[in-house]
Amino acid sequence: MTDGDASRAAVIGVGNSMMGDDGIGPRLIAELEGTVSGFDLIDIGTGGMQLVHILARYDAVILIDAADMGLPPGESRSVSPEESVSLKQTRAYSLHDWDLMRSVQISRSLGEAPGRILIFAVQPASVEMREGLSPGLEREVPRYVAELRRSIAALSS
Amino acid sequence: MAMPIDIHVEHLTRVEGHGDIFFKANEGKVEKVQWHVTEAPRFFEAMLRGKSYVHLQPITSRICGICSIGHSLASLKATEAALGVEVSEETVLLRRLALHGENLQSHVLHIGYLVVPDLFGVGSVFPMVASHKDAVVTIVGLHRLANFMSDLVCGRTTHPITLRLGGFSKVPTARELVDLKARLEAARPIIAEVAGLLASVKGKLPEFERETEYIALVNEKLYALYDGDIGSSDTGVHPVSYYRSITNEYVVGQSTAKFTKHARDSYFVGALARFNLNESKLSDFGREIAQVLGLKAPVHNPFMNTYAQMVEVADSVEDSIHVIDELLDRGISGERAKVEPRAGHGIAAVEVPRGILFHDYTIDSIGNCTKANCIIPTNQNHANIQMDMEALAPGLVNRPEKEIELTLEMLVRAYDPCISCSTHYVSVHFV
Repeated sequence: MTDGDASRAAVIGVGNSMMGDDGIGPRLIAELEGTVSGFDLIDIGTGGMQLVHILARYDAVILIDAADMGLPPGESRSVSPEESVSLKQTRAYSLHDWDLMRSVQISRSLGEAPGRILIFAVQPASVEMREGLSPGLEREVPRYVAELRRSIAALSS
Repeated sequence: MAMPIDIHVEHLTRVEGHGDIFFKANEGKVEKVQWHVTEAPRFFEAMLRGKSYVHLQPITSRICGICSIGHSLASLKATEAALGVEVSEETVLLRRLALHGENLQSHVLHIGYLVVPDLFGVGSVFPMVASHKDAVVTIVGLHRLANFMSDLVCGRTTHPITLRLGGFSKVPTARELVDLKARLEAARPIIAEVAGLLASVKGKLPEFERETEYIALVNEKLYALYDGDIGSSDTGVHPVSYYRSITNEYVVGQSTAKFTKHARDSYFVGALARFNLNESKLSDFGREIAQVLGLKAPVHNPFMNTYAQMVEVADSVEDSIHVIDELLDRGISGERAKVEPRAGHGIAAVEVPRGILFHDYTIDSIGNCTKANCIIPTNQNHANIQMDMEALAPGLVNRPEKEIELTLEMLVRAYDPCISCSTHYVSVHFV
């Protein structure tokens, strides 16, 4: 993928698939693969500054990430950046200590963020060194996919 | 009477991986100053044993998310040397372009996101978006160009997919190269602007000098990155096959990474070592930026490594333009050398953003790796960081605790260490 793509909308999965439920973003991108048109599907892994570069290419994005929202594990929310405040304390920037909301914030400050951003956040049950989701989140995958499809349809209209 | 000082920086920020700093002083005397590497060893060399020659590059690429192109090239060169494969001039030109892309990516990231906050007195790049928006826009733009270059030549930003044994699986078209050249040309004034910015805050860096041995690849024609012999500021030029006698790895109690030494107790690798040994081979644009930054070899202040990286940003842009011109003149065929398994031993050295990198493989007759050794630049800098700290510490002892801490942190950051990569192997003997 290079600059100047015709497609100006994307679903971006953020997370580390080797850290249990943190991998929900990449996992849902894999579920959507081949079933969505008009949207680029991007597994950006842990993201970092790369997310800032990618956000600059699109007019509309849905970002999928695990988030500690104080909800029961497996619960999900679709929110706009305005409705969410990151409580993650990053001591300073290193390549492995990043925060999705900061990427969005930098992108907006630079005046290149997509006009429409929706964050699909899932409350993890466990984030630890392990491949695959916890059983509770695994059961909910069809529901997440259905909800993402509704969001994609809404953003397409 | 001076108060006792006891500083422990646990998991230093704005570096890749985990390292700690200890500083202890009493009554104006330094009692302890140590650079600790606490990252867990990663055992990549053990992983390579028994693997087919075709898998060595994709595996070793994963040693580092920043230097994946450099590791891939060192791995391909060592494998090709073992299998007796000669690649074409076109492949060498494209590989040089790939390495420049990585150098740009890594240096811009280090200068812009990891060091500049220290020079502007802020904790990270985030507050700078509000206070120095133009600088951040410039840095993000340069970083984006470097990523674009890596995407084009290597197939993706990190962990290259087009770099293959014998050549490239996909080569850029002439049109794509013309487009890249235009973008690189457009970056010249932006680079001059960033260099001007760095020059304006140069006084914020400590005036600390400690002469040491500088080691880097040297090449008669080029500012050596992809190929050359091993050059030492103390002992002259040595063949790459001599690398074990250069690195002399040894284990220390304070580090999960091995330390190295050659003619002295420590040596320096990276942009400053390359600059000190190869200044005369810089392109015109590289020289121009060195002048803007007030750098003239030999430079013995390790904090200037970041400034040498800025010189290399300019040099990489200009040499990339030359390489593109040469490729366009020749025409791009996508030719690949034939690669077949055979028993052999191959050693390769490549200059990656943090310094000289060695890969050494032994391959058996069916093409499986039986022995591997990878010596990473940050490894080679750990002893020099320790010795710089020891030389810097007495001059800091009467400074406020926060300033001591920040100065030692800035010293480590200047080396741009990639600590995770350096923790490759520790010998354990059970008695």
